[in-house]
Amino acid sequence: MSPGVRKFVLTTHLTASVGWIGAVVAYLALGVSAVTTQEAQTVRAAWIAMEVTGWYAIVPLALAALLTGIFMSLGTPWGLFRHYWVLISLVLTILSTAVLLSHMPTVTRTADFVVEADAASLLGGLGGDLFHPGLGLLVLLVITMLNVYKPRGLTPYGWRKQQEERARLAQRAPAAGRP
Amino acid sequence: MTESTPSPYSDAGDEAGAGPSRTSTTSYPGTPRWVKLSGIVVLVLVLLVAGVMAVAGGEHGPMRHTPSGSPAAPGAPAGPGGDTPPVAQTVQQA
Repeated sequence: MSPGVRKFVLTTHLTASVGWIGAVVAYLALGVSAVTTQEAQTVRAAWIAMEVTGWYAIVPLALAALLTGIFMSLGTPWGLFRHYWVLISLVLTILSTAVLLSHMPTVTRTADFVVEADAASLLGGLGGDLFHPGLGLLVLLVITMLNVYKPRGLTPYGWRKQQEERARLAQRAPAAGRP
Repeated sequence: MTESTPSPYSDAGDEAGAGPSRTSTTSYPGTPRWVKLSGIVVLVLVLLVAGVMAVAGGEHGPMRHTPSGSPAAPGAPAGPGGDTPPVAQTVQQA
């Protein structure tokens, strides 16, 4: 990957990843307001906003972070399956995105429901949606820490590739030294 | 996400640890301790959440508040213990 392309993908990935966290925080704030308010209109507004935030901010950012992340991994020496921190980040990101995509239709159904429901229904135990975004935020923070700290540790596949690379370099070195 | 984020936060120099290390070993050094510890923690958390969900009837999230299990669905049990949430029942009665 050329330095220019790498920088561009890196910028996109960084923006999407951090934006994903920010969008989840906004979703959580709406979810908290839906649970704590005493106003039916606020419950309706919160759920409608949660649906819009989910589909038009969180989902695109999650997909962008996942795709750019894979692209970055494959285009740099880190690889996708060579280092544990990369592999774990990939698995957690795929899981988070899958749960998000499977959960959003429920959010849409709830948003459709609150538009039609009367005030007594909305304030009588409709509840909010704090479990999924709360857990998701935790997972995203773990992924961020992994990406910042990059703890050492090669997977068996990564170690094998490293050995092959060493052997290749060792073969080249004597050949280059000959007159 | 993945290394994606890694590179994201990194410069070109951040890839210094990505290449072959100078420490040479003839056999695979094994899974790092931080991976094992993280695996144990995650396993405990998953079992904990699964246990709580089992006790709570497996319902979580807004699904339990929506009329997805309304009587319109063939075979859906109604009333207490059914899939129709109290909120949906209130709306249907209104």
